[in-house]
Amino acid sequence: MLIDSIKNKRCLIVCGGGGVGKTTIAASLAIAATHERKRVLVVTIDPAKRLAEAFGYSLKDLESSGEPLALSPAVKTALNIPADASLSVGLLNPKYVLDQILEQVLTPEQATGLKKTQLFTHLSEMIYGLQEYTAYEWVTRMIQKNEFDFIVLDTPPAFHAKDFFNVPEKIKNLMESKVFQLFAPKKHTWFTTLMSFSWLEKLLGEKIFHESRIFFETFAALRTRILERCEWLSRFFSQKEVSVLAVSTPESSALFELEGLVSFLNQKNIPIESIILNQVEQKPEYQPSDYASDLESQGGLILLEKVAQIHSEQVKRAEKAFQTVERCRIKYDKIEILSVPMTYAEEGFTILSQASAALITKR
Amino acid sequence: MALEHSIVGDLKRINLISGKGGVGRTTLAASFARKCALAGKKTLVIELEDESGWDSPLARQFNLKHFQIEPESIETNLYGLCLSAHVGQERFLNSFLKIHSLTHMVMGNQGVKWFLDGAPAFREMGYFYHLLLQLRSDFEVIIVDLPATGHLVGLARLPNILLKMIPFGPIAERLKEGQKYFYDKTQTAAWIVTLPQTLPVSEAIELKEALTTEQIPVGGYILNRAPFNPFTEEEEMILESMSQKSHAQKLMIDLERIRRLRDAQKRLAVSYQDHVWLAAESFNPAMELKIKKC
Repeated sequence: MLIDSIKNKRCLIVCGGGGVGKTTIAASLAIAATHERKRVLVVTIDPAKRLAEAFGYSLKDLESSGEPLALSPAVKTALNIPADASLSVGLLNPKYVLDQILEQVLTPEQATGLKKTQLFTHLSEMIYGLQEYTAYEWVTRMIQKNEFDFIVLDTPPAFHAKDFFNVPEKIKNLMESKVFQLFAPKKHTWFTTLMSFSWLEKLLGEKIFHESRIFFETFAALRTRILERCEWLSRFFSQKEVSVLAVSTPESSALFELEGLVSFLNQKNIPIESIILNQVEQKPEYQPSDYASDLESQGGLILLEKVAQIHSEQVKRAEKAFQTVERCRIKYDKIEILSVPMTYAEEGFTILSQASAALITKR
Repeated sequence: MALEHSIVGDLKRINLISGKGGVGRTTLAASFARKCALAGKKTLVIELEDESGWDSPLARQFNLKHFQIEPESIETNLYGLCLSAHVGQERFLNSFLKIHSLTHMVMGNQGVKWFLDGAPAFREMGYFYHLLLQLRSDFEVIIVDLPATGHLVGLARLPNILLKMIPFGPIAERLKEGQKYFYDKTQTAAWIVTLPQTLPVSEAIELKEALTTEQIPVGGYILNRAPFNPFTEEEEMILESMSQKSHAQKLMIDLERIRRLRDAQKRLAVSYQDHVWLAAESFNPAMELKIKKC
């Protein structure tokens, strides 16, 4: 149960496909958690402006700070966070994290050489899993520093939700691959390899080939460190201190992705604590007849009819969503299913308060 | 009500369908492809590979698990294909080395394989070349479902970034050939799918600006899941003023959806006048998707 995780675990990983409101859910959970835990941190990857503002910061504040920022007393009061609890918000800044790793592992000359290559400039866009990896690095550091009792981690918007859990293995494979050995200066021994690479050099031109070489040579120095972390991470997910939550909406393509995520996590033996269905449409709270006299007097019978049409559309929407939620309960009968109503609030405050209330009290 | 106007007539030969996750992009891409095929055009619908091997959401729209790396006939006039980085890289080497056994040797080398997988930009280059091969083919309509907005901007930027590093030679030639296709507004259009909500609309507008900077012609915005709006502007004003007299608050929560649709339409129209399309929300998945220009 979600509530038990909030009370007892160290870290909550919120995952799901794109556009399902993962970040909002992560932030709401962090707010909810302040009622149980004293020092809470939410790590977000790609927050919307209004979410940052709901926490009392501009996106710029969060982006430029590599370290988490604590919410001010006024914002805490507005979000109904207990005075003796603290909530901090951190925005993942892959470049900042990477810079720190480079500083720790490389000599200043090596670091400068690496940073000068064109490849490094476009690294974050182009290396698969870099963002995920830096998220891990960061969270690991936060856990080891022991400044927080409870961490909610929002995952990056990956091609697929499950990619997040694949990253340690993929990076491990890459690091253990021969690429790093091939580019290491003294290992040019195989004839075929040499031959293929001279083809590559011819094909790519000297500059990019040379740059790739610097890139791989220096990056190879990071290998041991990265491998250690990946090792640690593959164990981390299945640890008792960590809970995984899957977020989806009742929309068919989101549910399709959820299905893939659930079976993937099953295969990996990573248990899912709860499934959160977000943006669930609700039945209208009025009857068109409630306003019949006003509507008729101001817009004629036709306006009343039109309102009735809108009303019946919303009833259909809500019914469809209700059925979807019920189907999920049957399909995932071993997992707790929570639903968060669709909201049309504009204010970040309101959205977060509504969602955290729905997640914690409705049971 | 505006005349129903089929978007098929506005599609170009090359259509890049883009939009954030969850906006219904794949469903729209599949629907466009079907419409074009029904209109008698030889159509190819393309997706990017998902290396983790799960069923593809686009192929699922055609009751298939996956598409192949060569155009595969799905329905009359309709073909599907899955872009693969590895296939693109191999084909490119082949076109350059001309000797298959040599390509096999190079590509078969585990070191090279890892290099191509791991080294920055090579994956994208593979996709780029595999796509380029399709653009050269005789398909009358090509529809590409791009999984995330980043992919489209990335693919659009790739030639420029790489041309700085590799200004001459066979790769540069292919990159320039690709650019010629992508920059030609008589042939290519990027379609930005979004939802009638504040944030997705802002993101759509940002994407359009990014594409314009990259010189990729934008066909238009498609506002997906547009709710049914029966009200005239006058009627909306009556409802608005009713709600201000406070007793119709609950009714207004439902009307909020329609107000957002209007806001979204207005904002998108400011960004790109006469290029905003509405795709109707449907409660019945079997019902044909209705798209109209607004």
